Amino acid sequence: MSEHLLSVLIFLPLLGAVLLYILPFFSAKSDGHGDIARWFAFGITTLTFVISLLKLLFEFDGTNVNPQFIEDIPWIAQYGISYNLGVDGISIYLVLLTTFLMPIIVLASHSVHSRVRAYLANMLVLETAMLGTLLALDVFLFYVFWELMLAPMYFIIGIWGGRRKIYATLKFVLYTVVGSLLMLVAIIYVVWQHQQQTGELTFLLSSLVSNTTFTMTEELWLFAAFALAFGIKVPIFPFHTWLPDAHVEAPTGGSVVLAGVLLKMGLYGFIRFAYPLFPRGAEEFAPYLAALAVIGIIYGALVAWAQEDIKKLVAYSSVSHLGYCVLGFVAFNTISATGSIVQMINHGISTGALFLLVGVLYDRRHTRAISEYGGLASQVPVFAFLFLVFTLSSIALPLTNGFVGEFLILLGSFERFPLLTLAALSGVILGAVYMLTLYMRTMFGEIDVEKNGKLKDVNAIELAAFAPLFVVVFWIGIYPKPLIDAIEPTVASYIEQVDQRSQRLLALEEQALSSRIALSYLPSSAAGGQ
Amino acid sequence: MRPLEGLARFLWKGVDQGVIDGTVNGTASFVDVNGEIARVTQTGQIRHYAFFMFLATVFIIAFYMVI
Repeated sequence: MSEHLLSVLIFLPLLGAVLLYILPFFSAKSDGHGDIARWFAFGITTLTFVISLLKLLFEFDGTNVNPQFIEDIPWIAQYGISYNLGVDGISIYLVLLTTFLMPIIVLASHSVHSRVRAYLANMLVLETAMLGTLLALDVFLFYVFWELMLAPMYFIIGIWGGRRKIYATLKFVLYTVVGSLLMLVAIIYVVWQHQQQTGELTFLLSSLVSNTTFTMTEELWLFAAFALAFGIKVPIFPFHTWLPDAHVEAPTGGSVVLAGVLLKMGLYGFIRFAYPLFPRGAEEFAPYLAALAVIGIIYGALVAWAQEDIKKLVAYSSVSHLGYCVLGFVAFNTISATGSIVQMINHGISTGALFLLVGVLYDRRHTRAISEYGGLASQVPVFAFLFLVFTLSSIALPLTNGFVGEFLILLGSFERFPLLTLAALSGVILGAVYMLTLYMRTMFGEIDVEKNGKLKDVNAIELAAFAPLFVVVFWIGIYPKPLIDAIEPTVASYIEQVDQRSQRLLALEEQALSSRIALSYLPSSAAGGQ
Repeated sequence: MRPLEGLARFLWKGVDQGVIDGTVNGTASFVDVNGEIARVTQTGQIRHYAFFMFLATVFIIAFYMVI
């Protein structure tokens, strides 16, 4: 099984989705409330998680910086497309985050009442697409999975969403696809160039990275194309406006998967594809990306503060938090980049939990307006406690996971972008402001809305969903060593490789330039031919 | 505090919803409006379609005669 571990991980959820429709147990007649379907989906997602945990965690070699568990099967050989999978220190914890969150999301689906089977099937297909995106090492395969993620999300928001679900889902899909199409053009150009230069038509990332050379101009344009596609997904200011609508209108589970995993795909794309392929372009754009990231941090925080809708507030907080991840990665040293990846995981946990919390409130009262709440702490103490913990995690209080990531990012980024990092620090304070204000307004004070007096606390299923997240918050916060140990060596080696390629490209281009100049000094009969 | 709150609200309503979303939705309505304009040609009456085909044929022939 080890040779096909990654394929099993990717396609097990898909198999689950297919079974949901083939097997008669789940049809509307025999499973009216969708409970059997829910148990089945929970089983599949938990199985996927357990497989990923056992195999990857115990058989993954933390000291090996190259991709492991590689699968390489030629797929469409005439075009050089192969089914190439692999996992390394950068993607392993993202894969685990994905498989970890999915069972929780299935648990959270208890709030979905209509067409449960379809909802769960969409979630399972989404899991397949997400895992495929993280594990693909062939550019074409990656693109297929990247686009595949959009389809189930479109349905999840569009069918089970809120009041403006159609607007939100169309906005989300069109926004993302526009960027992706530009990236497709860039991909085709890269593959074509590779073929021009080496005579080999291939979409394998490793081949494209090692053997293609680009001029600076090419790199700038190509990186910009990739950066647009990934920047929309992260999201980077000003391409973030799809996010508030998509998050708010999505059902609870949809928001969790969107914030918990899909946003990370954007940054992962930068790490896996844009930077290795176009290092000099990345270098050029780095200050601008960092500036946009910091703008996102502060802007996201300020706009979050102005919100009256809890879910929208959390959505904007996502924009703010991903800004830290972008800043950390773009600063491009081992500490900040490791912090960036750690923070990606942390954000998935904390913001996922926050959306679950909002979902709990919404299930009870069907409103997300802050003004409708207040003084809940005495009425729903367990909820208040969980809300506090995840708020503090979001603020990056020491001993919580958020602190580890943020500290590494700020420490590393200060070396490269001191002024921007100082500005980002103000974002930390603003983060505390809007989150704690939210907590105060909803949890403290007197209960002035009558209905809140009868609110029920978290039930067993909801608690089961929160428990693992709660544990991880403190586990990473207090003992982050295993996490960092798995990520850092790969990041260090990655940075070294990207820098090497950058220098090689520079040297090659200078060589080309100087030989052209040398040629032009020769008498024209020798240079120009007849 | 107050001015910062005011800034936050402005950033939300003015910039995020006003400028950025305005551009996004503006692009969408641009497509919409063009569609409305193009819709005029879809009359459903075959005689209109036949007429345009005739006009186009005349144009093409004229074009090739001139070139």
